Amino acid sequence: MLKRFGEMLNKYRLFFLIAVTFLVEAVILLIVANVIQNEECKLTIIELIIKNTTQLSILMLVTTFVYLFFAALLDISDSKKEAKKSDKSDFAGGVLTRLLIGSFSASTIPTGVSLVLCAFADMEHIKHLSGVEIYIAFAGISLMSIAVLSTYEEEGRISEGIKKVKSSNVSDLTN
Amino acid sequence: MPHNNPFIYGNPVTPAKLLGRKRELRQIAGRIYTGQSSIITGSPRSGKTSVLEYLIAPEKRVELYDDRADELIFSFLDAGSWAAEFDQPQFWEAAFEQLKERISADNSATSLFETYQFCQDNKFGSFVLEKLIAQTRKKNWQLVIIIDGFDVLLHHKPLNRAEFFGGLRLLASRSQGALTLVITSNASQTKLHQETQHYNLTGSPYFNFMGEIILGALDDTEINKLLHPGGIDFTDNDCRFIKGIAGGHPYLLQVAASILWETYENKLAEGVRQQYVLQEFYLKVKDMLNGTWQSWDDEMHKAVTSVALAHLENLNVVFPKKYVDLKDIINSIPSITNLGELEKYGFLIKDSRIRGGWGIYPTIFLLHFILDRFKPEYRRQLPDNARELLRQQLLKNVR
Repeated sequence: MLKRFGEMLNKYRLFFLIAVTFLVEAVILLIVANVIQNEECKLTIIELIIKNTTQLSILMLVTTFVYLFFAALLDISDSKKEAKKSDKSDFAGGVLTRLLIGSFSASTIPTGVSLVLCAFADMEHIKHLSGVEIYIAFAGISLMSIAVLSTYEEEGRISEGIKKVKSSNVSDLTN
Repeated sequence: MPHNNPFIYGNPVTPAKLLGRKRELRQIAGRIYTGQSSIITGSPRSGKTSVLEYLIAPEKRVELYDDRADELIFSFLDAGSWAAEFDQPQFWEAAFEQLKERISADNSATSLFETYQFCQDNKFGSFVLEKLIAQTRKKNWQLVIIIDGFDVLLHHKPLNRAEFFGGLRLLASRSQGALTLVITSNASQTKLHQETQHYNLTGSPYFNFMGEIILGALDDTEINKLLHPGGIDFTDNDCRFIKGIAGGHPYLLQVAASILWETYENKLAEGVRQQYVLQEFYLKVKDMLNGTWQSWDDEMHKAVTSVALAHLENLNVVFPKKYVDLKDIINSIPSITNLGELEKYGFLIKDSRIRGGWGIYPTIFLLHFILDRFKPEYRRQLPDNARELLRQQLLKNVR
């Protein structure tokens, strides 16, 4: 069981790292927010989370971007020796795309959490969510960019899947 | 013009309507006359069964076998009609059916009849079969066993055995002309040898006692004869067009000419009728082209695909360099060993105008490549107008 957990931890280490870092940052942010809030109308923890959605989203965006950026740097240096000169620009383009997709997607998580909390705890909490339309628009734009970029990436992968036909593998061309 | 379409395709043609193949018929009849076995090979629909029908037609026997006509006993077997459990005793029972009838009709053949029954009782073992054949020879009779679609047996469990192939070879080669085999196959003799080699790793190939007769493309005279049966007068342009898309393949020629004949009946204008013929022709022969492709092995596929790419380039239909290294493929064409064999079977032709020196003939095969043979992921990489461009080139009869 422990071994299996260890394997999973290793496999998804980047995800766990981001999650842990973000949780630490979020807790610190919420503590600070709790300390400095007005004593007369103290907010509950749920209300605090909802009220700080924007800050949490920015935290998530920056955290994810930083981690993914360093992971990509390591990845590039690993495959630098193997990659051909002509493949390098494609490779870098793919990494940048993944960086953007990853960061933007992750930054929508706090918004999603806040909306879920509103829906299940009390719809009245939504009044703490300042500029709801911005969140919705941001979520929409993120979804659209994910869809567009995924399609673009998939198309690229399909093209890469076609082997170049030469005299030695001319049979690959036909059914 | 007559009002019934005179161009026949589908069923084997009757001996009276068989056009061309005179040289091949003379060769096979000559071999039968001298007691030698033959293997007739050709692509699907090349007329193998029609040739067999001609060889056994009672009205043609004197013309073909002269003074031996009455001594020949033909036994026609269709390998494609045998059930999965059809075994060796059943095979010999069927092969000797005609001999049995001749024995029954001849009062002086009582000992032969007894030997036949002895064979039957012993489930046609090799030893007793040899005795039966020897007695047949004494009567001056010659049994000609004709097996149509012999290559089917390579996938027939009870008969695809060393014992059966070896038995056939032994009986035919030791019969001193009393037992002659004539078999047909889509696969070449070399291919049959390869397919049965695992039974006979050290000995001679099973079928090397047979002479191979290839049914290839019809020559120009035969094609002209086929395209001009009584009362038909296609224009020279139409004839050139038909010859281009159908090559010298008798079935393809009959199909194309039949559709063209219909357009004459419907009084379509020249350009329109050729477009109509090309469209209908492809739909009608698509399955046959598929079957022909399936009957080839990997090496044949490589050879035909390489030549097709070179020929398509000549017609300005080219894959992007990113996906197909055409230069490398064309440079490899001269070193391909089986181009000559494909030429004999009537699918390739030497053409110095095409890089690599070879072209596809019949050209309808090129359309088959573009529409169905290339894998979809590669087909999508062709220019959008590739199909239309090729159609236009075929209509111009560029070969």
